[in-house]
Amino acid sequence: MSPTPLMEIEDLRVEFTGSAGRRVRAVRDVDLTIYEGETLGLVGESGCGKSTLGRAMVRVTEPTGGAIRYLGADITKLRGTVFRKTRADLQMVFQDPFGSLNPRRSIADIVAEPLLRARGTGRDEARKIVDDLLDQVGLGREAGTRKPHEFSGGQRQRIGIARALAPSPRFVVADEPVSALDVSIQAQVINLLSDLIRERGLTMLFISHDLGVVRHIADRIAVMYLGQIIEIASRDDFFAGPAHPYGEALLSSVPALSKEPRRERIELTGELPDPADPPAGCTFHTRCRYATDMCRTEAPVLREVQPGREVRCHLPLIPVKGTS
Amino acid sequence: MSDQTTTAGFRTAFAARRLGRGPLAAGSWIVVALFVLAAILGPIFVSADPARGTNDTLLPLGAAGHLLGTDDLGRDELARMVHGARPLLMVAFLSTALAAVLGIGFGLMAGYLGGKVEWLIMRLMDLALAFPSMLLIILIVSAWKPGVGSLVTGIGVALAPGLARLARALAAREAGRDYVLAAKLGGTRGPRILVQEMLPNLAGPMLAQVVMTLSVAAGFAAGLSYLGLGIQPPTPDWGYMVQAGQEFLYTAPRLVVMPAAATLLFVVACNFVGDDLRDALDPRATR
Repeated sequence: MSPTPLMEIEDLRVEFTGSAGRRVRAVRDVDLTIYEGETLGLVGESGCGKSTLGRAMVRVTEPTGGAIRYLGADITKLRGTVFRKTRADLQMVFQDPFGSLNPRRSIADIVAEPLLRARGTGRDEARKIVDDLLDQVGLGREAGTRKPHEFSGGQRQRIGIARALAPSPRFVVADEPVSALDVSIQAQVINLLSDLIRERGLTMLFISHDLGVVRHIADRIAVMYLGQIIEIASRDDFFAGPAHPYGEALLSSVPALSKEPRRERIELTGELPDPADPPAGCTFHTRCRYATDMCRTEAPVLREVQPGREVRCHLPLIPVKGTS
Repeated sequence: MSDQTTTAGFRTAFAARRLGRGPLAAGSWIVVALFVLAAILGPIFVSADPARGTNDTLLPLGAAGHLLGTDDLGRDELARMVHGARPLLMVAFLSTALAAVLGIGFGLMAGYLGGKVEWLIMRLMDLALAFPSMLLIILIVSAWKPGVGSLVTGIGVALAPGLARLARALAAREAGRDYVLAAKLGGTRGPRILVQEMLPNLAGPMLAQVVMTLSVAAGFAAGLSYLGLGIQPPTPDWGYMVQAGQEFLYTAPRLVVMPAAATLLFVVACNFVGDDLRDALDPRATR
């Protein structure tokens, strides 16, 4: 199996102008490839830029610089109708089950919208597709005539999933799709989402701060810290032992399963630095227990330390071997 | 923030039940309804011709055949009052409708598009607001010919910026909501996003402001007729009636007091109705 890249992110930057004209660099120098059919888990703590990266990838937030190649074509350069229709291949499941559905519209109208607007599907055909989708997400087609406020948070996320799948996208960004739900509902929604994605052979960027959820759903994992990707690894490699000290700290916060060796609990000290004024050198050095003088002055680059494993650290926790 | 959207559906469903609570609000609704009814149906019930003069000039209140007396030309004052409601209400409603279309349209565009378009639209609105409204309306009316068309245009243009400001603020808030982003992702074009997705969610708070604008428009309409820039005689009109009656302020004060009081009552009632609508649609905003 030779994986084909579906989304290639190159040197992506997203900046916001904050208060008093300060430039907050929410996403910096991100290079990331997502392969066709895989689910990439993007993890990191609140405010690290993972949502911004996800939103920039579907251009709901405009990137400040860099390229986003979808099947080789840079979508940051697209405009007008071509852009609207191409982008319908990229969909999103939102975090907030309440804000993401228009309270004034019926469920059927909400789910049919991308079919009617981006795909030019006729009303009758769209109606059938919507009915099928509502059945598939477990709500039943009768749900179509009702309004969003008649549904619970978990049901609304199912509607959000149906809407995202309606235009038959190839890439879906799921931005913390279950973090607003009760724990008892989370598993159902996650399983539904991952089943539908796998059945259709879709590619997904799954954003979460919950490593337990990511472990369940992702094939590969990317870790973000202060707007940068600091580690990329396959799921099994990452959970066997992260290469970046930040990944190690994150993983140590997840309760271990009984069969696994006990992990040392590493508590990060200090606050997340101000993203408008990131520390010099390695951005993680202020909270890293291995930091040396080099880390304080010289910024590490993201490099491949083992096949398929990239890390942005001078002193990775795994041996460097077998790379070109 | 999210609980506000949760309750949006319920809010609409129950808003109607909260309308008209308290004597002031209920009374205001009744007054506005009566005025509208009087303007539409009144002329059917009052048979006297408001424009026909007789020799019975300046009859007092309660005179035989003339319940509210007659004016200086012997015209039936009741008929004049009833017919006079029509131009005022018509100008007020039409100019408010124009202000709503212009103000909400530009405000939505500014709030949704942001950036340079927003800057340009809102600076134009600021410019219009910088003029005293009355002056702006007089400018527009006198550049054209006095009458319903110019009056409606003038008042509508003068009142649009206030509505545009509110619409822009509300639209800017809605534009960042996920449901709008989802519509964009679904390939929905800008104009459709504005009308189909955002407008229904702004309609509640905008409606209250539009009704408030109605009272201001009625005030301007009456003021301009008083100045002779509105409805031209012989069509009866409250503003003009006040002006014409001034001459007899001491001998027959009712000729001034009745149309003036009617205008005031309508303007004030519209204001309270607007207040009531706002309270009913967003119960947490006040008190």
